[in-house]
Amino acid sequence: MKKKSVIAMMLVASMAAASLLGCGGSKEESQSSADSSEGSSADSGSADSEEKTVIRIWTKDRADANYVQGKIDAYNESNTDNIQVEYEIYTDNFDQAVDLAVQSGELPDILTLNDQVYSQYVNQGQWLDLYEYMDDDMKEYFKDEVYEGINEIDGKLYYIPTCGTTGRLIYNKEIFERVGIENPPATLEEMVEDAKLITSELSGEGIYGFAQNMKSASSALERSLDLGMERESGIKKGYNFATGEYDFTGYEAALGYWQQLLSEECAFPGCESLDIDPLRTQFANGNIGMYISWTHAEPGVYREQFPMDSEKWDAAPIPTVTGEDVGVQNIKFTSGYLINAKSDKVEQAFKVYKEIFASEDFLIGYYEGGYGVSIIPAVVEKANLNEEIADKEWLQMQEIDGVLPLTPQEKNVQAVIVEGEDYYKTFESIYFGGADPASTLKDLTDRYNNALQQGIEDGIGTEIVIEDYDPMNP
Amino acid sequence: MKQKMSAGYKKKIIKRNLESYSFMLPNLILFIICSIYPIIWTLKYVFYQYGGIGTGDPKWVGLANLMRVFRDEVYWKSVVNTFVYGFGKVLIIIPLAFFLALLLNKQTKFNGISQSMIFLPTIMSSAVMGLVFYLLFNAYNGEINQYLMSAHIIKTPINWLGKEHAMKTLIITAVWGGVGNYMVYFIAGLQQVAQDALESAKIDGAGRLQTLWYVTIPMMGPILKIILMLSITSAFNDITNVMVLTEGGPNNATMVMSLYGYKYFFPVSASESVIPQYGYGAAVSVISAVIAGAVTIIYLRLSRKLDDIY
Amino acid sequence: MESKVKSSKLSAKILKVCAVLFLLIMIVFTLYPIIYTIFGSLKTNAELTSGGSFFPKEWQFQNYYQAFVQADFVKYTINSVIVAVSSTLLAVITCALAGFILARRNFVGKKLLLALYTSMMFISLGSVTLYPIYQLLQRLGLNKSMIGLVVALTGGQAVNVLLVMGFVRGVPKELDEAAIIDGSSFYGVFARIILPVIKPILAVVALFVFRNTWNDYITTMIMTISNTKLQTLTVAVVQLKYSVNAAAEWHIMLAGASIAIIPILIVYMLCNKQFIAGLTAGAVKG
Repeated sequence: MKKKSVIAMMLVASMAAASLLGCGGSKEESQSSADSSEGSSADSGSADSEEKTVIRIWTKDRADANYVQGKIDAYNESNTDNIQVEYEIYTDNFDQAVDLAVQSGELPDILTLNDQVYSQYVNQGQWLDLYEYMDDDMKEYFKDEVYEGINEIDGKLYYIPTCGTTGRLIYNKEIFERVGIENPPATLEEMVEDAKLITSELSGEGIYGFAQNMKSASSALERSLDLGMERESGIKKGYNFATGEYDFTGYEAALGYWQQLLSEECAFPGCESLDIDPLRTQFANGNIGMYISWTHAEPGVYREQFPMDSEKWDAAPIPTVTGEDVGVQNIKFTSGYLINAKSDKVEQAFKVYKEIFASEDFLIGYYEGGYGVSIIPAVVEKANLNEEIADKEWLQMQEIDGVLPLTPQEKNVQAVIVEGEDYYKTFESIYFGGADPASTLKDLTDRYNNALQQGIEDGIGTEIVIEDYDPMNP
Repeated sequence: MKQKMSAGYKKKIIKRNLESYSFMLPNLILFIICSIYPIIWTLKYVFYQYGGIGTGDPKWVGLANLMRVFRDEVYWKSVVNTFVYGFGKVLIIIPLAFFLALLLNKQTKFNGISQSMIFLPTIMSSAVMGLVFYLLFNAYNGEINQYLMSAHIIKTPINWLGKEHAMKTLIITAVWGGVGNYMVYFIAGLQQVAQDALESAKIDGAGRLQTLWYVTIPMMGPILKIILMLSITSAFNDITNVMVLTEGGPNNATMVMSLYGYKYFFPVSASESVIPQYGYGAAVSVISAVIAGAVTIIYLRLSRKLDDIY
Repeated sequence: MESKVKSSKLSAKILKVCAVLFLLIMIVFTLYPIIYTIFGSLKTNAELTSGGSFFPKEWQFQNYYQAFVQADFVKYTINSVIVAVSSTLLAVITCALAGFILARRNFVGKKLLLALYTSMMFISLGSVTLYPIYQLLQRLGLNKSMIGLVVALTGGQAVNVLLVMGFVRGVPKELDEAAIIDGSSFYGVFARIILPVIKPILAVVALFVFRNTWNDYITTMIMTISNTKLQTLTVAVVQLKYSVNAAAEWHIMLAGASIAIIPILIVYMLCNKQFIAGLTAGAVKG
């Protein structure tokens, strides 16, 4: 007992000592971080006697981290302006981190694009108008990437999207061949049949027809059902641009098929609590027949993270109820950078942005590396695509894809505060909870339209009606 | 009376008070920052609509947030879930802990070691262990299913975190994390049971079970009351393990009221993005606190009634 | 008569066997997840996800190297130690001072304070209060350093203040009076008379605050949300779940989990008696 207490004392003492030592270190650290965020250009902890300007960048993406970090390191080495770029990755809580950072004035100089963060602060003058700094060459180079009402508002350009993504059905060719499916399904009915076939024949070996990362309904449906509905009905995230109203009643048929897809007859066990990455490992191991995901991520994932022979899988358009399109499906921008207009190093930040992220070399390498699907014509032309993307035509942007306008909620999340669950969660109560589809969707439509009206009345939201809206050519 | 007070006496009183507050102050500052201020803030925002700094000033909405809570079906589902979780946990953990305490009450070396092993989970981080349980209970490659399948107890994997079993799984992990705690409470209680009462029961020829039922348990009354209360209130506040293990899903099957309020402030998981609704979240939290408080009060009333019966 | 004794002896034996069996099951139940974590941290990812052996086939100590170096766990470990030790010290000092004065003196507003402290045991708004706390700390300029995190983690300590107060009340007042007669000041009484006597209860407070801060997830996560450099082990481990490679890195996750639990495990092994005794003291007093 005595011995024990002696050891305990020693442990506590050593911890205290460590904490004292550590405290010293942490003070320095907090000091330097405080300095860099205050942005006094006259400071840096570096050993150089020269003063370096620190430009901080926050990102949400880890997938491309190695590539980007490599480019940044090279820039840090070579730039002659004494700029030091710090690249910080926030996989978690990005929105919240930004929210809190805005409040405390700690927002970094550059942020990777995040739709919600962008729209929330765009009206507060938080983001730099890039036109102010862009020269004519740059304006010309990116002229096809200007979308009024999205990244260009009132003649100001807030970001330049360089890559886009959209959803596709990803399927295992081997499994399809084994059970005798020739072509990937085009309609949801075929998809259910195919999934059932695979599961009934191969579940003994642990192979199932369909899987989706249903742990988060929003994450799963944003990449699948949303996009299918855009093609099928021209409605984006429940919003009808022609009438200026929300209407979810058209989702009923598709949700019916989803319910079947997620039933035991079709689905991989544990889909309800599956995240996308565990799903991908199972797909790479050949245990899943098909799933739906973003085009930009999968090639890199199966080349590096969870190696899988490129021969074995392919992509196809997302199946819809009828298989006939009345509209295009949305391209979601994945790569874009926002510059903090309230930073006192705006000029340097723009320089960093231009020299690293807007350089053709960077953009081509990014596309070739399979980190994103470029939407810039010059880049697409010059890039030598690796086989994963080159062989799979549906991983590239096609005619069924296009850039759709923003819905009221995308434009300003606070303008459409919906009572109760959002539509993803409400759909969950249909396909998992067995809620009555017709009445639930009717109620959902009402709740969204009420919220929309409320937002307009409060003066936060604006009515968005597009006359002669053509979902094929938005 | 006051007028009669001499100046010196007054000074002395002021000095005494200042002295007292010099002791009180360090803790009081913490208490105000971390306990009083947030409560006042939350109570205030119950009456506002507010979405964070980028969204304009808070807007006075009166009772609208509170009314909305009463209409919110998912919230009431989370209240029901909280009760299921709370009572499920308490009903398993209390008898189990009591039984363990009876077995391990005598102070032998073996009992001491057993005690400290069963107590071990209570010192573990429920967040870290939530992560470990997430790996263990995974449907497709978690170790639990692998064992069960290789032992031929089950043929197809059990979907532990699916909508049918998620709550049970959650309760199992909560029992794991808490049973040692209550066992120690019970042992403390058992040691307070007067030995001579037990002796006399033995002399009277009472069997073990009889002694247990007629002597030990009644004498444990007061401590049992405290333990039950602690277990109920703590179960109502559990949030970390839910957040890490199931994130409230699937389809809100494990959404508890503490997490439901939280999700209007902060994202519950990395894959969800949140539309902050601080006013509504505050209203949800206040009503949840009232419900938890009401349960405590009802419990206290009932247990007083129990006293009358004994 | 004889057979009755025999049968009762037999049934007692069966009962005993059952009891031991039950105990063993409970011990397996409680220890299994911990052992899984530690052995799992020494397996390869393939071994973990494909199941199989209980023990690692080959002991993969490089998992720890990976966690420490690649996942930056050295930094998080240092953070955890600083945060837990500072919070513990802060809690012990403030609770000792407040508990002492509440037990020994009457002063203006004491009744109100006592009522407030006691009511905190019944009012719980949960984690949403972290938002206003964060805002307030930020306004005070404390959110960029570890100080803010330590303050938020230490919190009001209402229960512990009351615990210490109860303990001080049990100390005979004659001790103080004797010291004052001997010429000691009020501060002297606290430092020389009371402090040594209330050491046991302060140890209890320290033990539990240390445990709670070391293990805390939500408060630390939120306080470090825009300053991830200050994250602690617990937060860093759980966030591994959301990292891109999570699905392929169960072994790293478990190595991280082990790094987070082993220190507290050691503390527990050294003073489990104090833990259990402390809990008992808390329960009886509380």
